[in-house]
Amino acid sequence: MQLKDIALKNLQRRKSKMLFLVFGMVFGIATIVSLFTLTTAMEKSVNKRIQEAGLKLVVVPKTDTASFSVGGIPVVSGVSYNTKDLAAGTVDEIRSVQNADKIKVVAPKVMGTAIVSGKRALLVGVDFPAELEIKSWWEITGSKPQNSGQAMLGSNVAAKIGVSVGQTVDVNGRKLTVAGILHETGRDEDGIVFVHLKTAQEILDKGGKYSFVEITTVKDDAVAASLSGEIAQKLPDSRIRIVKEAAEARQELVERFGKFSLVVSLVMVVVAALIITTTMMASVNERTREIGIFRAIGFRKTHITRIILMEASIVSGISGILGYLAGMGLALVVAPLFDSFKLAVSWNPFLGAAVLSGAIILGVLASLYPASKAAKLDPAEALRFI
Amino acid sequence: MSLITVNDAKKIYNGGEGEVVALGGVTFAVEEGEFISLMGPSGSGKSTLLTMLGAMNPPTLGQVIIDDIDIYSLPAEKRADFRSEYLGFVFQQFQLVPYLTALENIMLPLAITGISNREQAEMASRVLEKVGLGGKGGRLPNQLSGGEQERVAIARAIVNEPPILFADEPTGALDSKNSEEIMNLFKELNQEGQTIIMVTHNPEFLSYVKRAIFIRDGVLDEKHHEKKMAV
Repeated sequence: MQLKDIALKNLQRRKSKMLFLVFGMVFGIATIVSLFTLTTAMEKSVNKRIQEAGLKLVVVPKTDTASFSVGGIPVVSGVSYNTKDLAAGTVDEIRSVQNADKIKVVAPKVMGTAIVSGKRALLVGVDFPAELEIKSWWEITGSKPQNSGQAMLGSNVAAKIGVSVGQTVDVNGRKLTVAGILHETGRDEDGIVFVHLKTAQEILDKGGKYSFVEITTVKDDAVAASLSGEIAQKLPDSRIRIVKEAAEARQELVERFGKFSLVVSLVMVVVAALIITTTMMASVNERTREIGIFRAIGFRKTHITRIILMEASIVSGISGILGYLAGMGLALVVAPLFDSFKLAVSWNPFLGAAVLSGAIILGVLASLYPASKAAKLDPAEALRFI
Repeated sequence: MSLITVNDAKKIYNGGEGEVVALGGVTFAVEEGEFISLMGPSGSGKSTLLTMLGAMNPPTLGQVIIDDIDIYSLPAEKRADFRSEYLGFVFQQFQLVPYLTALENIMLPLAITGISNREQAEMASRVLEKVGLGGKGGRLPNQLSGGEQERVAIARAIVNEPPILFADEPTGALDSKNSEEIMNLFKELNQEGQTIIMVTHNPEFLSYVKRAIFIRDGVLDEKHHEKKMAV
C-alpha cells in the first residue's frame, strides 16, 4: 500500500463523482483544443494563401473622370468618359521591367458586355492558366476551357441561361461549348462568362487590347512598390494599384476568431478550475473522519496533501487525454464546415503534451486549497466525528 | 523510567460560554507492559486524555513524556512521525477505510514507511493470522462481521509493532460474546509484552486489565479507583 494506491482506490470508490468531474473537464478541454486547432489551421490556411498569392498589382487604363457640383453640392461625381483600353503591347512591356523576375503571374483580361444565349452578360477574356493560378480558390464543375471554342460560366449566369457543362452557348452569335461552370463564390465571378482572351478580343472587337492586367508578385511591399513605379514609367497611359488580396481580409477574420477562442478558453479554464475545486472540496469534507484516522496513525500533512493532489492529477490527466482526443475529433468534424478555408487539421503531439500537462497543472492548482484544508485537519478534532 | 509519564496535564478549551476545563491537572505514569483501563462517565475527560496521550492534543499546561520524549515539544510533523513509530490506535466503531480490503486496511500505517507492497502484504498477513482472520484478507469491511472488523482494526493498530496500543471503547459496538473474544485478544497481546491503554465504560473488563485509572470531571478519581479495583 503506497500513497498512490490510496488515491487510486479512493477514485475507484467515488466513480460517479469523479466521472462527473472528468466529463466536465473533458468538455472544457475539448472545446479549448478544438478552438485552438481550428484557429491554428485557419491561420495556416490564410498564411499559405497569402504566401502563394503574394501581393497583387492591378494595371488599369487611365480614365478621364469629371465631377460637377452646383453651389458646392456635388451633383455628378466620378463619371467616366473617354473609357480607354490598355494597348496591345502592355503585357510585353510589363514583362520587360527590370524587376520582372519578382513577378509571379501576369493575368491580362479584356471585358465587355455581350448577349449570351439571349441574355445580357459580362464577358471576360482571360489567359486561363494565369487566371487559375491567381484564383486558387476557384472550384470548377467540368474542366477549364482548353481552346478558343470553349467557355467557363459563373454559377449565376449559367443558371440564368440554363446551361450545363457540355452544352453550347451563343455569345454575340459565336457558338462556344461550356467546358466548366464555376462553383458559387459569392463574388463578381458568379455573373461572368469567361472565355479565352483572344476569343473575347474578337467578340468584343478589341483586337490585342486589354481592359486591365492583374499581376502577382512576391509578398514584399517594397518589391510591389518598386514594380508599380517601373510599370507606371513604362505605361504612362495606365494607373497601377496595389490590391489587398482577399486572403488578407480573411486574416483579420481569423485574428478575431482567435481572440474569441482565447476568451472562450479562459472562461473554460476558470469553469473547470471551479468544478475541480468544488468536487475536491466536497471529497475532502466527506472524508474528514478518514483523513483524521490517517493523521492519527501517523500520516504527515504532506502525505495527505500528496494523496489529494495525486487524485486531482490522475483525474486531470485522464481528462487531459480524453479532452485532447475529443477536441481533435470535434475539430476534424467541424473543419469541413469552414470549406472556403480548406482547413487541414493536423494531429500535434506537442499540443497533446501541452494539454496533458496543462490539465494536470490546472487540476493540481485548483486542488491546492482543498488539499491544504485536508492537511490542516486536526486529527483530534476529526476524531470527534467518530 | 516509566514508558509514559503525564505531569499535571491540563486542557482548557475556550468556548463560546467561556473556559471549559476538560482536564484539570492529571498526573500518572504507565510502565512498559501494562494493560490499563481508562474509565469514567461520559464527559469526564477520557477522550481528551486519550488524544493527549496519542500525541494529537497538546495540553494547555503540563507535559506528556513517552519513552523520555516530551512529545509536545516536537513540531507537528515530527509528532506525526512519532505517532507512526510509537503508537497504535484502535478507534471507536472500528473505523476501517471502507474502500480498502481487510489486508489493505492493515497495510495502511505502512503506506508511509517506504516498505515495499510485497513486504507490507507479508507483514499484514502475519498480523491477520495472529488476530484469527487468516484467509479473510481480501474482504471489504462490509463483508466482515462486527467482531471481525474489530480484529482487523486491532491488526491495523499493531502491524508496525508500536510500543503502545491505544483502544477507544473497542467493544462498544460488539455483543457480549464478541466483546469477550476481543478482550481475550487484548489480553494475549499484553501477555506478549504489548503496553495497552484502553478507554472503556464497561466495569466487567476490569478483570482483564492490570490497572484501571478512573477519571471524573477532568481529574483522577482515586477513591473510585480503589473501590472498583477491590470489586
